[in-house]
Amino acid sequence: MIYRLENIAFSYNKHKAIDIKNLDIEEGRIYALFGANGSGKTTLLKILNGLLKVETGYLYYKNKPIGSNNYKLIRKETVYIHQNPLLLTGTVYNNVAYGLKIRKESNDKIEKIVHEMLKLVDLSGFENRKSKGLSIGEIKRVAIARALAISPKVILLDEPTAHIDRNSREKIAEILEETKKKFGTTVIFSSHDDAFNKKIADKIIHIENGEIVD
Amino acid sequence: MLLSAIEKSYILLTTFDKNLYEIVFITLKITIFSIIIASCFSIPLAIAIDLMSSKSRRVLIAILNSLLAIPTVVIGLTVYMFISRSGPFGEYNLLFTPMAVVIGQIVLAIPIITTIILAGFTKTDRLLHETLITLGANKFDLMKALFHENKPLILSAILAGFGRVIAEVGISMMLGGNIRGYTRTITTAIAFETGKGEFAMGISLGIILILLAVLINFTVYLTFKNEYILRDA
Repeated sequence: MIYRLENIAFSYNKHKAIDIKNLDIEEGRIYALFGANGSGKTTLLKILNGLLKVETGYLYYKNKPIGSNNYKLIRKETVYIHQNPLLLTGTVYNNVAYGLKIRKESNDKIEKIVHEMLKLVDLSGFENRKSKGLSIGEIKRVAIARALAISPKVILLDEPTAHIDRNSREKIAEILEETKKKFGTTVIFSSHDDAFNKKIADKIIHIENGEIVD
Repeated sequence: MLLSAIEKSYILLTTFDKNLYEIVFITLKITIFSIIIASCFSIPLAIAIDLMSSKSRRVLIAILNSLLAIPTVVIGLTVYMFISRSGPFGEYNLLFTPMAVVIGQIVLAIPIITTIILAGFTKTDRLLHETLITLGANKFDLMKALFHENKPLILSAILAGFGRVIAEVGISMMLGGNIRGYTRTITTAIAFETGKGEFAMGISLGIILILLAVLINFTVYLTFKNEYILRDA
């Protein structure tokens, strides 16, 4: 079990966004969060990444309770990708290398990993391209490569298939399946795309008004 | 009278009149120095405020916004009290020196540059913060990235500060004293020459002021036109 959530609640200005009684997430599997806009999918993903701190209840990561003093653990081992990812100014190479550079990895290692990740997301040869000229689908794939470069245990994606064409959607499906197969990474994503969810998810979690329904 | 003043002004500009260009040189020297020092305070201050908790940030932004409304003569008066002979820094004999004008202009520029940078940050910072935090960035990495990703914004803020400072009269007049060849700036010279009925010099200095503004803004536009934060729509 990589995550265990017990009686987790989170509110925005007294409006309850998440109220989960019980949820277990197993390691090395692909989970899809399915639900309407405003159902709490993004909030849940951010909680799992430590970007939002739970108000009540218990969040366990690898059987360790996550309190205010060890949020760094989930931040270190998990990575969250926004629905509309932000690429930093500069080249694709520099974007994918960012997480490695701040970890002070050697240049040789950075170069090797960047090439490997760009190959994984089918963007080999894009190293020197400016991030400005990329399509939405390419931006999403660069963001995935950037996230995977730091070898996370869990990758959390908010609507990875939003605003992209069918080819890009299929490419992202292949990347996420390959990520699970090659690195054993746990993949959790939110999506409205039922066909996409059924195609790649090992389990689909339905969320309504912040609660999990079956 | 107007045509005659314009004709004289044209002659002053094209013959590179010594008095005219001396005033321009002194103005640029004082203003650039003030803006460099003000930027050294404002940029880290803006980044530090942006990384504070929302409550502290709101309080500090409110204070900075209030400082924007203070008239230059009040800044001049306050600095005057500190550096005049009877003030706490009177022993340094700063009054009616270029350094006195620089101090006043720094006080004027810091809230302007800081608030403009902060206003720009709020448009991008949440997505940028979350993206960097999730990739493992610490506060220092965040500060570096905020600076790097907002270079055009920061430069625009510095230029806005420069534009405001080069055009102010109150501080230069009160703290500099409009001493010819020493603390006489473009604005104090315009006020002084117009008072004497010498419109040609005023028009010439006004034209130089406008040309400077256009030149700087155009240079910045060309330098940074391709460097903006990228966000998927």
